[in-house]
Amino acid sequence: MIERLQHKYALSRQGATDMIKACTCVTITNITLMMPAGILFCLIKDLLEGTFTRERIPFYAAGSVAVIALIALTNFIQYNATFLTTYRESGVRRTTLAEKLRKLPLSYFGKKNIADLTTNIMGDCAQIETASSHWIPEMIGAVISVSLVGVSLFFAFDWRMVLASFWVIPVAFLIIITCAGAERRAVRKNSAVKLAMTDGIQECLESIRDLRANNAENRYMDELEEKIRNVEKEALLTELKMAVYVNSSAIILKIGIGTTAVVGGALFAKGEISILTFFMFLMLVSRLYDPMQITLQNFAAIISCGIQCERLDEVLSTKPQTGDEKINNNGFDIVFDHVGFQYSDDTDVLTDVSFTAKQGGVTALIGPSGGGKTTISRLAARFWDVNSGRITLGGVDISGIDPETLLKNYSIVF
Amino acid sequence: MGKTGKFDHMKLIGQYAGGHKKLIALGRAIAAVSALLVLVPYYDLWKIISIAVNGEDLSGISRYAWQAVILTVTSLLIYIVALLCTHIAAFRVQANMRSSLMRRILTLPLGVFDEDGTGKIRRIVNDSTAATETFIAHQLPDKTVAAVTPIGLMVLVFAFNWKMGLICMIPALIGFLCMTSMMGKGMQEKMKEYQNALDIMSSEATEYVRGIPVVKTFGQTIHSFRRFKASIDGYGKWTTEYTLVLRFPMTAFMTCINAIFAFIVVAAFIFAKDGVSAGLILNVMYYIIVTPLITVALTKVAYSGEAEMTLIDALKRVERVMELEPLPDNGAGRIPADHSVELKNVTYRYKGAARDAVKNVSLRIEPGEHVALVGPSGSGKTTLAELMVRFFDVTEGEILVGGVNVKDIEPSELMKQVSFVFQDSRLIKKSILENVRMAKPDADENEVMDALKKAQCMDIIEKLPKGVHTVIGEKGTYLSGGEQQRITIARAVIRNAPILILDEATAFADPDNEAKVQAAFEELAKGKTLIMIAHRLSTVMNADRIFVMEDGRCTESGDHETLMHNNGLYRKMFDEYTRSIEWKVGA
Ligand SMILES: Nc1ncnc2c1ncn2[C@@H]1O[C@H](COP(=O)(O)OP(=O)(O)OP(=O)(O)O)[C@@H](O)[C@H]1O
Ligand SMILES: Nc1ncnc2c1ncn2[C@@H]1O[C@H](COP(=O)(O)OP(=O)(O)OP(=O)(O)O)[C@@H](O)[C@H]1O
Ligand SMILES: [Mg+2]
Ligand SMILES: [Mg+2]
Repeated sequence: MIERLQHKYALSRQGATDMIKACTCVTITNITLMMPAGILFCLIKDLLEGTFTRERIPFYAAGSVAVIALIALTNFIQYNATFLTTYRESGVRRTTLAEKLRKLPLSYFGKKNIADLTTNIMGDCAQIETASSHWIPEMIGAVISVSLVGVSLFFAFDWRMVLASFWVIPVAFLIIITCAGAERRAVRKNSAVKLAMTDGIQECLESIRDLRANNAENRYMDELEEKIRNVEKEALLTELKMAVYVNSSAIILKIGIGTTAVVGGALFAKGEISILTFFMFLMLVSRLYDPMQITLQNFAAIISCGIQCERLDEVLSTKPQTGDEKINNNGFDIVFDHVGFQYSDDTDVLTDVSFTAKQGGVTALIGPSGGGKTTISRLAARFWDVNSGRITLGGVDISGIDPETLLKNYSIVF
Repeated sequence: MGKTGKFDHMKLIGQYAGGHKKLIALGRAIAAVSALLVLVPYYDLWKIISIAVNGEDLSGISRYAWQAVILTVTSLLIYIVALLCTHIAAFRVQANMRSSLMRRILTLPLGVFDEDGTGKIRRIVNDSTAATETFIAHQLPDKTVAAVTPIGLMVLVFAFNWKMGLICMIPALIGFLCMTSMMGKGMQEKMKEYQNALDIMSSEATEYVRGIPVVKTFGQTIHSFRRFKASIDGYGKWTTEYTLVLRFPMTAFMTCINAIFAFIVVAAFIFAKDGVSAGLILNVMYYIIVTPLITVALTKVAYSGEAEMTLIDALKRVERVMELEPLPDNGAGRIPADHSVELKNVTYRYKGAARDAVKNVSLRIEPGEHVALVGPSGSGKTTLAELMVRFFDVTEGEILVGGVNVKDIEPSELMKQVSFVFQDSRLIKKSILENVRMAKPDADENEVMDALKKAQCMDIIEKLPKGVHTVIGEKGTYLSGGEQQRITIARAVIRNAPILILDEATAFADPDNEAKVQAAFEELAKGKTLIMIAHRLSTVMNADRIFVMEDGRCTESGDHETLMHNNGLYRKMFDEYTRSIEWKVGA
C-alpha cells in the first residue's frame, strides 16, 4: 500500500507514511466534529422527555468542555499532520526530481522544452503537494468517518432512515467517477493551452533582442496575445465543465434532504420511529451534506491532479545514464568503433564512423558545418549514447562509465 | 502608489477587469441572493419538525420536504451563476494583466532584467497573475456569502427567539476576530518572505533546468544542483515558519466555529428556567439545524486572509514591473538624413556594474564605409554596437544616426535603418520560412528562398525533412550554431537595411563556409554602411577602417596597414592570430 502510494503520488517512503498518518488524523478529527451532534441529541432527548433539569448541568458542562477540548486538540494535530509534513515532503520531492534531471542524458533535454521541465518542477509539485496534504487526506477521512457513522446508525436506529439519508453519498461519488474521463480530457487540454502560452512568454523574453532588431515586437505580441486569450477561453471552459460535474453531484446530495424528510415523515406517521429519531436524521442531514459537498470537490480535484502525477512520474521513470564510478582505463586513447548515431529517430548524423584519437597526439576533425564534428565530441564525452558501435577510452567502453566520472578525464572548449 | 496610504487592490483589479468590473459586482450580488435563499429551506425543515412535534396534518411533511429540496437546489444553481460571473472576470483580469505586462516588457531598455533572470519575469507574468484567480473568482463571492449569512440569520432569528439567536452568534464573532488577528502586519511581512522564497526557488529552477545541458558538459551539475537545493530549503524554511505562525490562530478559529453547539446548550438552559414549552423545544431544534450554516460560511472564508495577501503580493509584483521606465520617447519623430553613424564622448555603464563597459568613445562612420571593431573579449564591442541601435540609452554623450540623435528617432524607424546580426541570435519555434519572414512580413516564399540562397543556407534547407517549412525546435529538429547563424543572416539579407551590424557573424562557421558567408556579406554590404565585429582578423583586413577597443576605450583606429605600422595592440593581436593559423594548419 505504501509502495503504491509512493508511485502514484511521487512520494518518498516517509511521505507515504505521513500521508497515511494525515488520513488517520483527519478521520479522527471528523469523528470528533460529530460529537457535538451527540450532545445536542441528548439535549433534545432531555427536552422531549422532560428530564431537562438542573441535575443535568454537570453532564452538559463536562460534556461540552470535553468535546470543545477534543475539537481543539484534534484540529491542532490535524494541522500539524497536514501542513507541516507536506512542506518537508515537497522539499524532498523537488530535490529528488532535480537530482534525477541531473542524471538524465542530454538527449532528454532536446526533446522536452524548458517550460515543460520547469512546470514539472514547480507547478506540478505544488499541485501534488496540495493534493497529498489536503485533498486526499480530507477525502479519505471524510469517507471513512461518514461510513463509520452510517454503519453505526444502521444498527442503533432505523435502517430505512439510514438508507433514506445516506443513499445520495455513494451516488454523488459515482457521478464524479463517471465524469472522471471527461474531466481528465478537459484538464489535459487546458494544460496544453497553458503550456503553449508559457512557452510563448519564455520565448518572447529570450528573443526580445531579435524581435526588436527586426521590428517584429508587435507582430509577435499579437500572436502571444492570441495564446493568452486562448488560455482565458479554455480556462473558463474547463471551469464550466468542472462546475457541471461537481454540481450535478451536489444536487444529488441536496435531494437527500427530501428523501430523509419524506421517509421520516411516513415512518413517523405510522408510528414506527419516534420524533427524536426523526429529528436526529434531519439534524444529521443538515450537518453532513455541506462537508460532503466539499469532499466531492476535493475528489474532482484529485482526479485532475492525476495528470500532474503522470507527468512527474514520466520524468522520474526515464532511464538515467549510469555506470561504474571507477574506470580502469589503460591510457587515454579514444577509439570510435563503427559508430552510428542519430539525434532523433529519422536522420543519421553519423554512420559507421571509426577512428582512433591517440593519447598525446592532436586529432583534428574537419568538415562542413553540420557535418557532425561537434556531435563526435559530444559522443566522446558521453553526452549522448551511441545507437550502434562503441566508443572506448583506454580500452574501456564508455557506455559503462558514470558520466561524471568520465568527464573528469576531459576538458572541453566549444 | 504604495508609498502613500493603503495599497488599493480592489481598484487595481477594477482597472485590469475593464468592462468586466461590473461582472464582479454582479457576481457578488448574485452570491448574496443565493446565500439568503439557502436560508429559506431551513424554515421548511422547521415546519416539518413543527408538524411532527405538534402532531398536525402529517401529509404536509412531504410538500415542505420537496419545497426545501427545490429551494436548496435553486440557491445552488444561483451560486453557480455567481461563480460563473466572477470566473469570467477573474480570467479576464488574468489575461489583461499578462498582455499588459508583456507589452510593457517589450518597450523596456534591453538588459533591465538580465540580472533577475527571465525565470523571475516569466513567473510574474504567469504565476503572479494566476494567483489573482482564487481571490477574485472564489473569495470575493464567498466573502459576500459569509457577510450576508449572519445578517440573513439575524432576520430569521427575529421570527424565532432572537435572544437565543444572538447567543448562537457569539462563537462566530470570536472566530471572526481570530481570523482578523491572522491578517496582522507581521503576517503580511511573513507572506512576503514566503513569496520571495517561492520566487527565488522558481527562478533557480528555471536556471537549473536551462543550465543542465550546458553545465553537464563541464561535469558541474553538483554545483548548480546545490544552489537549487539551497533555494528549495529556503522555501521549505519559510513555509514552515509561516504555517507555524498560523497554527494557533487557525486551531482557535476552527474550534470557535465548531463550538456553537455549546452555546445552544447554554441558551437552552437559560430559557428552560421558565419551564419547557413545546415552543422552546421547536426553537432549540431550529437553531440546531440552522447553525451549521454559520460554520460552513465561515469555513469557506477561513483562508480568505491568505488569499487576499497572496493577491496583494502578486499585484505588487506585477505593478513593480509595470512601473519600470520604458525607453523614453520624446516624440520628435525625426528621420535620419543619411546612413552615417557618429558617437560623441559615449560612456555606458550597465546597471549595478562597478565599471564602465564603454568609456568616452568618439568616432564617426561615414555612409557606405565598411568598418570593423576588434579587441579582446569583454572590451565592449557588443555593448557599443547595441548602443548604436538604442537597445539602451547612453550614460553620457550622444549617438547620432544620419546626423540625428537616436533619442529623436522613432524606435521602429531606427530599426528600419539598421540590420543587426547578433553574436548569439535565436530562432523562434516556427518554420524556417517564418523565421526569415520575421524580418519582412510581406515577403513571399521566393524572396525568402532568395535570401536563404544568398546567406548560403541551401545545404541546411535541403537536408531538413520539410525544407523551409520545417519547424525549428519541434521533434528534436535542431540546427548547429553555424547553421542557426546563417539563417539569421538571411534575415539581414531580406531586410536589406542601409546600415549593417554584424557581431562576430562568422565565428561559428567552418572555414569552407566562412569564405562563402564572407562573400555573401560583401555582396550584401555593397553601398551600405557596414560595422563588423570579429575575432578572426582575416575577415577584417579589408575593412576601410578598423577601430580597436581595449577595456571600453577606443585606443586605435585606421586601416590594416596603418595599424600594423603603429605597432600597438592590433599588431600584437594580428601576430598572435597568424601564429594560431599556422598551428591549426600544422596540426
Ligand atoms: N541536439 C541536437 N538534436 C538534434 N539534431 C542535432 C543536434 N545537434 C546537432 N544536430 C544535427 O546533427 C548534425 C551535425 O551537427 P554538429 O553540431 O555535430 O555539426 P558540426 O560539424 O559541429 O557543425 P558546425 O561546424 O556548424 O558547428 C546537424 O545536421 C544538426 O542539425
Ligand atoms: N548585461 C550586462 N550587465 C552587466 N555587465 C555587462 C552586461 N553585458 C556585458 N557586460 C560587461 O560589459 C563589458 C563589455 O562587454 P561586451 O559584451 O560589450 O564585450 P565584447 O567586446 O563584445 O566581448 P566579446 O568579444 O567576448 O563578445 C564586459 O566587462 C561585460 O562583463
Ligand atoms: Mg559544431
Ligand atoms: Mg561581444
